[in-house]
Amino acid sequence: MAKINPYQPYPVELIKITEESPLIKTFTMTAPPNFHFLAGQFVEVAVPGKGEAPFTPSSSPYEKNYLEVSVAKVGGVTETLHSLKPGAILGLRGPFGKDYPLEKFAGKDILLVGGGVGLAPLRSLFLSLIHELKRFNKIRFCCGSRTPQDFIYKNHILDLWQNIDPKVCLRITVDRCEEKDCWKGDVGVVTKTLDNLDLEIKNSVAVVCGPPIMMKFSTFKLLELGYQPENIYLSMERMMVCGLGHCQHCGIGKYLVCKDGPVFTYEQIKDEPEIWA
Amino acid sequence: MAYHKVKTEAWLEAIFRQAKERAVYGLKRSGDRLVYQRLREPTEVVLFETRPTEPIKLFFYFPSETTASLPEEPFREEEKRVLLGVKACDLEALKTADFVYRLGDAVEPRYYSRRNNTLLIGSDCTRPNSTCFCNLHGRFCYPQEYFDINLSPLNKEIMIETGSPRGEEFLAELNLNLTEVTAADLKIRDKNRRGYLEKLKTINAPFEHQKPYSEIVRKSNNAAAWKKYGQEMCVQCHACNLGCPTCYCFSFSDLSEKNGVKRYKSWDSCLAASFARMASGATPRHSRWERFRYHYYHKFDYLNTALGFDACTGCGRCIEGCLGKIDKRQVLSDLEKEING
Repeated sequence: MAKINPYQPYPVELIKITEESPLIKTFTMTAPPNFHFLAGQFVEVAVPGKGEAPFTPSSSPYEKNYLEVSVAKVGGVTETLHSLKPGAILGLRGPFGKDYPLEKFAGKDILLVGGGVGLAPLRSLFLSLIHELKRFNKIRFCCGSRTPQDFIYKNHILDLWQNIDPKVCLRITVDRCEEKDCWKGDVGVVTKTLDNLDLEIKNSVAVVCGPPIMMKFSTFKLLELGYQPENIYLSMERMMVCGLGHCQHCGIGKYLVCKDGPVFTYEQIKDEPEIWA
Repeated sequence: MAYHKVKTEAWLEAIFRQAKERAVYGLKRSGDRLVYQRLREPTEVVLFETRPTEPIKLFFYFPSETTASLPEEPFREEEKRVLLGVKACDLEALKTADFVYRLGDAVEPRYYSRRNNTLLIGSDCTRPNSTCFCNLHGRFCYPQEYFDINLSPLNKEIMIETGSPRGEEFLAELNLNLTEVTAADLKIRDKNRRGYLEKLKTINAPFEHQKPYSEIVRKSNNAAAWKKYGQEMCVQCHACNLGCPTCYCFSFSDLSEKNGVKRYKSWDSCLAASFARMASGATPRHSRWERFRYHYYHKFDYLNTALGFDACTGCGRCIEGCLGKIDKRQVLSDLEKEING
């Protein structure tokens, strides 16, 4: 009894590395046997001897043989991860936490708002949505980034996903760009792309993921547009160390992001202290 | 479950016999404090008095220990052992740790094994410290549950109360010459216990409060006391976290060693600036007072909601160890005054 060690990572192989932007790479790794996650859940990826960090996979949950995480080079673990080559062995634990409740999204207009590396979980969600497109109404994916160079999943966002289906529309913007960038999208913060939405707000859900400041202002903008707090889904980021509700690093008020989240409705957490980091 | 009586010397002799066969930890004097010692041969053991300086969690989750490794190492069951003289505050603290590590969806196998292999012999706290405040929580300084065996002093004898089948078995193994407990004995024990509580009441008279601590903390979101104590007095030494028998937060550190990679699980402190810091460098609790408030919120609000009682047992180690001279009782009193306007 109780001999399974939940802190023990499962060894997986790094099979592909894709450079998305100067700071962000997508790492493709083999999936452990019987591994299955749902969009919005997160995994703990360990770089042996360096440490472990939480990531929400950016690949489709329907891919059974591999999973992908997109990682910004920001700290010790991620810096080492960025220096690895295919063939390296990583550790994997998870999946942990709650996923996006797609059953509640059925028959509704869906608005995805993402910025920077926050597009990673939304990519996984987007891939889930287009996998069963007929279940949902319109899909609007608003993507923001600091500069055109910082945009991740360029091939998909700027090209492949643009004409996927008449029900699907992508809006893209960058905070700033220079003339030499030849940027064809909008310029401005991501909240600007939320103006003139052709969605039936009353029958719509919004999903937000990105840096804290972007999430805060996007949420306020969505409220202004008439979204009810229970229809705004936020992918909260915290320092999830164990993923199991043991270590307490990821507390938001009475909630633990690793167990009760990372997907929360704004209604759930709006009265908790310190929600915007 | 059942009451018995035994002579103190006979009890100690039996315990020392046991100590030859398995790990038995008892309390010894160190200055005016008590600490745990492994009993190997007959020596002076304190059966009652007060709680030791170390929190009981030291026996169940260590300040730093290997928790995983690559390649994976086989799981080993923990050794059988006996803790003697555990006070009510420490027994109560195990309820919080059990909730987190033993009874949730994800069981911590080492904790589970240590808990299952540890026999808990509690004892009445007859000499509360000046920092003890279990009574302010509505708790008692003598164990009423969560023990395998509990001891109460009865002149030159000990009253033994068994609290679990495991405790009964252990008592049978000791092969003692037990005598029946009379109604008069129980009366004496209860009178003694009222006496200990009276001492506590005297110690804590300045900190009496009307509302439950959970309600006080829940209503104190913007109280000035957080800044006074959390910002001006707290020096972020983490002594309150480390000494607390219910604090269970931890971090991992992965290190490459000779035989592969080891993952260490080490106690962490919610008062540390790095505690909630994310990879991007952002943290939801920038200021010391916000982290200080979180410490209270976690114990008196969030865990109270989950457990049904405060995750503070009033052992007073946080007061005893605080380098900033913060008295938790005073903080809570001040908060109550503030919410009462």
